[in-house]
Amino acid sequence: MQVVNGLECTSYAIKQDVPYQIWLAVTSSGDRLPIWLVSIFHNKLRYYLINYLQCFTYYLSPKFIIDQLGLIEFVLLLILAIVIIKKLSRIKWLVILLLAIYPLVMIF
Amino acid sequence: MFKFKPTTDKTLLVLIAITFLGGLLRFYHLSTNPPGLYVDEAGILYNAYSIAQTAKDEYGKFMPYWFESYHDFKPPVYIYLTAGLVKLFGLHDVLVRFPSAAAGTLSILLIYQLTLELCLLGKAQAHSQHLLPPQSTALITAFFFAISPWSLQFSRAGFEANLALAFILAATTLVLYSFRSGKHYYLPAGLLYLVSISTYHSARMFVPLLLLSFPIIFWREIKHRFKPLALAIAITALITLPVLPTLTDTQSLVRLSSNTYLASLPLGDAITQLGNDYLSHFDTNYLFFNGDQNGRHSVRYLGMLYYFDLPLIIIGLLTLITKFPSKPKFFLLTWLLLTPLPAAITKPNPHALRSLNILPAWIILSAIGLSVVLSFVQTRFRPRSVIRHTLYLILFLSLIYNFFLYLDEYWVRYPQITAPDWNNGYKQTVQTIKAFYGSYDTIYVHRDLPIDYLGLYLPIPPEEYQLIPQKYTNFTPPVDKFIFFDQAWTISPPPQGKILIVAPPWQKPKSLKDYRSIQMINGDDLFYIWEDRAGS
Repeated sequence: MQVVNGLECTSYAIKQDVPYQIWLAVTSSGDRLPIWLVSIFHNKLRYYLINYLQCFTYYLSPKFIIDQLGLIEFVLLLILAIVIIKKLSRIKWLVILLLAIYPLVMIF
Repeated sequence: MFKFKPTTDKTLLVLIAITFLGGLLRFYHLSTNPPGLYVDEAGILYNAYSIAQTAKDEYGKFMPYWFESYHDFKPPVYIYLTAGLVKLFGLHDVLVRFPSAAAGTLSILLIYQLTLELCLLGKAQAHSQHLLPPQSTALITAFFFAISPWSLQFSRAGFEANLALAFILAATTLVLYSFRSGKHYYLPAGLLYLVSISTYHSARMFVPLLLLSFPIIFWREIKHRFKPLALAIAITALITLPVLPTLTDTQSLVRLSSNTYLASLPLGDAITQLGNDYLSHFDTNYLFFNGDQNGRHSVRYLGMLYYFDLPLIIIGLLTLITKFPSKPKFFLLTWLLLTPLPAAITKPNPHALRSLNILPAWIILSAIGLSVVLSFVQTRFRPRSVIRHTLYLILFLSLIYNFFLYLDEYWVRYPQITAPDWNNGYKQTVQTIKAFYGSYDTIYVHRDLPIDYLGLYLPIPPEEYQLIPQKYTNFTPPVDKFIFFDQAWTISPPPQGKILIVAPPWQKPKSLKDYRSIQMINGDDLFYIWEDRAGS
């Protein structure tokens, strides 16, 4: 899946896109491999898993954060996160938990 | 003599097996996949052929430093290496890919030793409880490099960047080994750095920056070895002097000026653009999911790294920052942060080829990650526990599945979808022309078929090729019986003689029924070849 501006990174968009991705993969390699091998490489489970993972990391990527906040704000946020994780051990798990949850909110 | 440090026979055996696997993945069917020589490979090979035959490049310049080629001024090392091979074995396509494949295979050994040096640097016992022994971590690095899609992609074609990376790895390993062992391999290291900057453009920016970081990171080591270091620097500088003007002249900057955008933007916009382009090299979509979208730089439907590298790199990075001694930590972080710079000042971005030097850093981080995970499993669970074996099985299956997924993409889908990127069919077209050569008086060739493919596959002797003016322009004059054109319908055939026309499919006259089609590996038509009547 090509993630250009994040519009592709919603649960709805992923559901729409997966059948196309499988069709594309199977039609371009299907007649050169045994069908059982094609289904191991190109199946729904793999594409859903990878697309969700891709979108999860997209919302944590510098590109997305800079597009939303700006370069300076991104750098400040990065420094803040490092300081919290290194110095404030009591709330570091809260920060990590928030970082883990917020992409899910964006996707769903 | 400089020695590898694989300490035990078992480690050595595993390292040899890994290198063999890496060599197999790099050399297997090297001439057929990627499915054709792309223009730069053709340019390198013809210049190498010309040097091997006449000691002059394709423009008739005697043993040049910069090779003008397609007016992009290629660095010399790769071409001279290929010229040596052409002299030994004759003109074969595979020879232009051989130095890169060999460099990729050699890099497996080099990255093993580099990782070992990093683990041993600064007496890294502090992190020993979190990692496997240094030899095991280094073996994981060698294995990850051997199967790395990023390395395989650039090892299987004539990319100078891959050779430059091998030189940089060798030089850096020598420097770190010298720092640790007290021996003085600074001069060979300096010479290898020098060769690397004459091999690929991005090394000319990365290597000086890396060298500048050494006094900051390794001040104590440098202070104690000042004399041999100063001597090595002085000798390297003396050797550099004759080529220094050529390293900084206008020809050497042609490639940069044609690819950079910074000069054309206002300062504020240039800084923002530079920041965005730099950070794009750390974009997870690019690294783990889609890769560089240039068909020659990745398989397109997978990332530059494997999926399993994502969690391992995060663990590796956290371990490096929190547990490692300062020297290997800052060295690896400096390497990671410097390498995208040469790519970021040019376009397009992210660029997997220009930022290829970043690969060792990602691979080492991923190997540290796996080393931490395996060490954790070993210390937390008893040898025969079910959980331990289950975790091993999960790790093994995810690695194997991802590796075979890549092999499927590279060997099944990739040649089909990127056939045009690799100029697939150009060789077959020239071979067809060659078969008809004696039967026709004039052969009209469309400019879509670059003249050096005719030079390579007819072949045209270098002495004749060097005399052709305005190569790779729209003004190339007729050569032998070849006339170059842009539109088939503008051809005005001579009054006498048999004529052959080679043109893209869309230029074939509608009424024409009798023609030969040259197809790419994916079945798409590339050129049509037909006979025309003189005076028609």
